[in-house]
Amino acid sequence: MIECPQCHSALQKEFINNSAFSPCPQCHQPIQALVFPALFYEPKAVGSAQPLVIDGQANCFYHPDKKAVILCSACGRFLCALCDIELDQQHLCPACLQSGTRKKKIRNIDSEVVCYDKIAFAVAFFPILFFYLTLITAPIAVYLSVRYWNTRSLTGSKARFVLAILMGLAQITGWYFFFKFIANHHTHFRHHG
Amino acid sequence: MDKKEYRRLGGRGRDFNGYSSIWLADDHLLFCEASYIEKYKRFYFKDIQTLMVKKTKSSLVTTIVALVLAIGSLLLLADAKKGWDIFWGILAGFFFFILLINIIKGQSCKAYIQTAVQKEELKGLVRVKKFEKFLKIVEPLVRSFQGEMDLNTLGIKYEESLAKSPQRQTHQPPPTGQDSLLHTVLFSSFIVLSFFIGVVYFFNNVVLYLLVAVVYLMALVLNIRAVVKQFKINFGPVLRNWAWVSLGGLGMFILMGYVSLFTLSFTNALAHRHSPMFTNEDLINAIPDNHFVKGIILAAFAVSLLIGIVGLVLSARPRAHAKPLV
Repeated sequence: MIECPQCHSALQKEFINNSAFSPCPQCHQPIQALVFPALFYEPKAVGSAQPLVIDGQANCFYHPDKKAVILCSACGRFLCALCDIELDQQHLCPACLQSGTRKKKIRNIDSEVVCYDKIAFAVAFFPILFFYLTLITAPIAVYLSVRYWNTRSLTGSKARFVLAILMGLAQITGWYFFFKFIANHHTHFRHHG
Repeated sequence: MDKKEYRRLGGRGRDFNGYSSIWLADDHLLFCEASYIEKYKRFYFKDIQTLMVKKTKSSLVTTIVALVLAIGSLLLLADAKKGWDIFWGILAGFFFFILLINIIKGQSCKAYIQTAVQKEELKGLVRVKKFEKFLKIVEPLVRSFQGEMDLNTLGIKYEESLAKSPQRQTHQPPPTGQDSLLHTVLFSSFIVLSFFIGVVYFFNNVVLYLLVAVVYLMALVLNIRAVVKQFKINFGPVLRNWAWVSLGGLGMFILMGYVSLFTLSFTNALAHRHSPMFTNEDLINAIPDNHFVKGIILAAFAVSLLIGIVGLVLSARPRAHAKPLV
């Protein structure tokens, strides 16, 4: 069933794959809906693990009394139907899935990535407004840029890392000359009273 | 997350949480919400059930606002002194540019994607033209994964699924009653406010300014009451959002008032070389000579008139679900 996104009333079949916008009969909102066959698929039944029938038959690593049906693509352990997790054309056991998620080694499973390029740029740029903060933030910005240079994110870019490094180095150089000036000044006063 | 696996589709939506974008991979769409952390949602082509789009009025509102501001700037340009003419000219050009871009981008919309377990708004697709381009790429891919089904079969299957569905609810007439008299009065007060602001623009009088202040306070009280009422009764998203817009407008007026006050105070202080502290009468007498403040008054007139007219139209419109919120 498809619903009007505005008033959530069920839409009639006239709305299906109509190339023009049609007003919802309930709220009159112009809507266009494209329906695919997946809307009518019945939910797939979850496979249940089969018990062992013959002695010596391969059994599941995690459930010794269940029949193994497949090997884990990562660790090679025998898995029953219950432990088999199909992902991205691979069959994984729960442990490999967990470690793969943690180490970000499984393709198409990342649900979030930290954008260190944006953080490094923000750390380099915003403290300029309160310039004395840059004494601390400039080295942090350079560190973040170098440490996370190879982080992969969709909207991230190396340009932000480069800018963060340049701004951080410029701020550090500025502080260097500032302290040098202060030190010279101090020496000058000590020598000349 | 490997960038090489993905190709960007559609535009980029922006809200308080950051940017949203849509990316295409071999077997799925990736919806990405990015601020300092990128969050991903994957929609596999084999799982996509529907793609829906509804037209919205935000492009129309942008057109009206940009047009009003552009015309207002042009009017001020016609009356501006040397120096200010450049400022108002640039401002008018800017608003016309926004207007042009908005017209070129076309009708605004909201797009949705549905699978068996989720329904998500595709925030990157906010224009119908963009959605059509998106559809040209995605539709063949989804069909290649799910196979073709002719329209008749789809229709029959859909009818069957509708019959099975327990929440069958179609073609119900909109319920009557629950009209928001409060909203109507609120937006009428904006019209009254715009009238007094318009009068103040031409006649500089202390009593008129006091009247503007009284009507403003009345509108503010009504607006707060309307917003509170909206928490109890559902007047529909458009009217509800417009009441928030009007409250935002009233907040802006306070800000504009402060800007005007400081402008008048310091401009006169500089001109007459004395302290920026004045009596109210001094300040009011200085208004006709100050083009910036006159511009602010004109802008306040246009904004309150716009809020009032649109609000009255929305209040008069029959609402499908003006019902108490449970």
